[in-house]
Amino acid sequence: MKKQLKRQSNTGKDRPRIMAGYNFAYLDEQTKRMIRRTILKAVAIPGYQVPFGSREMPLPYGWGTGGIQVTASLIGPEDTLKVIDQGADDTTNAVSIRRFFSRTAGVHTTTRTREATIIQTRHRIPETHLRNGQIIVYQVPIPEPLRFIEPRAKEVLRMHALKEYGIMFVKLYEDISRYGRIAKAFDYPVLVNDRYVMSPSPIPKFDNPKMDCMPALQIFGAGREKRIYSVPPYTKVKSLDFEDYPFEVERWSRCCALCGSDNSYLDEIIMDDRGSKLFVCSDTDHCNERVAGGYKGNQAESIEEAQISTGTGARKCA
Amino acid sequence: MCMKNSDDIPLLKVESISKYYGRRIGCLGIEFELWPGEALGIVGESGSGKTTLLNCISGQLEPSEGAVWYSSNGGVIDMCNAPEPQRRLVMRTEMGTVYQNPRDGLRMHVSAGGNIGERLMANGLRHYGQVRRRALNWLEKVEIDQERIDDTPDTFSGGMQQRLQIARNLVTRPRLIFMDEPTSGLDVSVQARLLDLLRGLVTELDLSMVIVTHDLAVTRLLAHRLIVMRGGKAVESGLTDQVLDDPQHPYTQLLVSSILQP
Amino acid sequence: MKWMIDVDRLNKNFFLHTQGEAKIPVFRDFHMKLKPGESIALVGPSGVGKSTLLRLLYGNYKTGSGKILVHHNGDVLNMAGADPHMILHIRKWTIGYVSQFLRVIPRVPAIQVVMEPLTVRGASEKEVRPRAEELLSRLRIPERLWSLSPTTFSGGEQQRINIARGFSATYPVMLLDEPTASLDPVNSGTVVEIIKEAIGMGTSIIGIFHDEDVRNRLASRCVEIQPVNNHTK
Repeated sequence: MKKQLKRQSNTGKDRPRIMAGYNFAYLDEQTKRMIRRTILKAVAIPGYQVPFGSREMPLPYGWGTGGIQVTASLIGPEDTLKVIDQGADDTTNAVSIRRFFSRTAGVHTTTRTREATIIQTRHRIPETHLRNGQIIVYQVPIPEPLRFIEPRAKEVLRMHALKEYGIMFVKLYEDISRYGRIAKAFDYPVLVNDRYVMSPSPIPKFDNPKMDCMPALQIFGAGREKRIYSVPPYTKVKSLDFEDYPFEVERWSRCCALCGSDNSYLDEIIMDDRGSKLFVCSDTDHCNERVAGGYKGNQAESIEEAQISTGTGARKCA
Repeated sequence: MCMKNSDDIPLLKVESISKYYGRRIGCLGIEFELWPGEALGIVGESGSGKTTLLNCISGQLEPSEGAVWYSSNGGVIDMCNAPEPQRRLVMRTEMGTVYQNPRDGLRMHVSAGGNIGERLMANGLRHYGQVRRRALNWLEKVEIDQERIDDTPDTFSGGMQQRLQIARNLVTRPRLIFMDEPTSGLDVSVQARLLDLLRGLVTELDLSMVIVTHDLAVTRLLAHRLIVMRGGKAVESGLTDQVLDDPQHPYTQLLVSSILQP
Repeated sequence: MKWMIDVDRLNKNFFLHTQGEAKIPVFRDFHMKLKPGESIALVGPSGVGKSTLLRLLYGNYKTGSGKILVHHNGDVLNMAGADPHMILHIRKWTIGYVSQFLRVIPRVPAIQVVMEPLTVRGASEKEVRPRAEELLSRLRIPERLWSLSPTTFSGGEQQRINIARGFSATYPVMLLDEPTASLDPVNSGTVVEIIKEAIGMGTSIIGIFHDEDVRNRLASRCVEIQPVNNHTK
């Protein structure tokens, strides 16, 4: 990774120590080479799902075994890792994966998007624009966008090979005829580089436009399904739609209660037993950074009090 | 106007098609030409190789020997050796297949409108309103209540499912349509309605058709020409009325004399 | 052009494979020529093969050996052994046929049944509708029946639909198999008129007319068909 990215959040301290008895970043070198070769192929064919020999990892399928293998193969001692789960840095899964790499690879970890060289994510893309040189690794449960439409795996392969994607539009058509709009809100299918239809993993469709011509390298790992695919930097990513029903992202009528942001993806949080609700940024790092910069939402103080008094706070604020 | 068709080249030219399943014969040395606007019936008892032959000529099964030449809008192509993308493109734009079992030809969990629209969208139409309009139009043509457009085919009767299959295939205005026992499993009044509908569409769209059936009455109504198959071989072929009114081969005579007259 | 149809050394046998391989000879070295503008009545006892001859000429029955030459589109073609595609073409443009029975197609309205020979030639329904309506009116088919399928019509009505269908288009050659059978004298008279008009327009005719009066009014000559007596070999 680039030099300037190496500035650590915990400057001055030494890197964490690698646990004895493990190879660097847990996987053995042959496996990492195999996965790197897969990644190279995936980068060479944007959006194409490359099969790979997925290994057993010390966490269950569905918890990010694909993403963690990709990260393990890419990470070097100089890298700084950020892991998010639905935008948050402090959920169990994110914390565990960060600790896994700090123990097995001795790398620095961070919660700051800007400081990370590798960002492993489940179901979100950070609000902060990613730079060229950064890598974002997505955890993918089901890589095949055609899976639930065409059950025959062989036929699906053929459809990809021949770029026969009419059936994807049948899905969208069904949505509009049933709900009056394209109802898909997560894992919204995209066409990569005008060639392959790809599942962007279950990120909200709000994040889809960020994938288009993103300066950072995007790699998707599906451990259980044994597939890796990629969107190289500055690649065209188009969300599928109809001319008369164009792709749209969701909008909120309110701003983040903590930082006042009016253009980030908001989570709805139930505050108490009476059902009072609060909308806050899903991307905790983004929110914290804004609060630190002096931005304020309309309920910033009252929330902190509420959190302290009731102990129901779903997140910690800076 | 007078010589409209006779100078044309045949739409489909089948050259000595054979298909072996191991040592067993599926079909053997079948040859015919199909001209634009013509309907060919393939008759014979179950296991005589009718469906094998149909699958070979419709690009769904690779024959062991022989060739199938199709004169597409873009020139003559060898259906057995053409690159797959080209073959599939031709199959989904210029050809259609109506299956005996609607489950093979329809997406049962997709609405009627989606079923009809699939080919349009596969061929690049990206306008919901237009897809919908054309689906409605075709529902009307195949005599399905337009209000059923958002219902899935598993809520349809057998006859409606077959008509939906036809609409789904004809929406891209193909030139050649293959049918595998389209009327078996339907009761008689529904059969008559379907056959009449097909007849009308064939004339209106100038369709060519290959129809596999064991029902000679169906061929009398729909097919200009017949091939009678037995044990994988064509035992007799010719004009439908000639084969049915003056059958030459013992097997055809048996077949014709076995028809029940109500 | 000396003839429209030239039947030369025609042989036809029926083999009944399902009935003890019986062989029934119908024609042996049969000759006949139909000249342009001529109207031939086939005569002979019942069962001698008059209808069979018409069906052979129409390609409905398969010729055993010999030739049936037809002038079609400036070419001379042999109906015996022509490929089905060509026979269909000849039927579309050159040879018309009115059979004894209408083969009814369920659900197709009578008017469309009548227009069909013209529409298959590529004409639009709008163009040909007046001709069909004229024929139906002349043949006294009530207008309320035009849009109904002939399936439910009486025998006489069906026969008149059949004639209207046969004469909606003009052909150089018409084959008529008892066109006036099962018709009352009034309608029979109309049918004779229609046939005469066709002859006037240059159609050559080969027909079977049981009614002597009809035969006398239409036929320019008679051809008698002799029974082939020897049933073995």
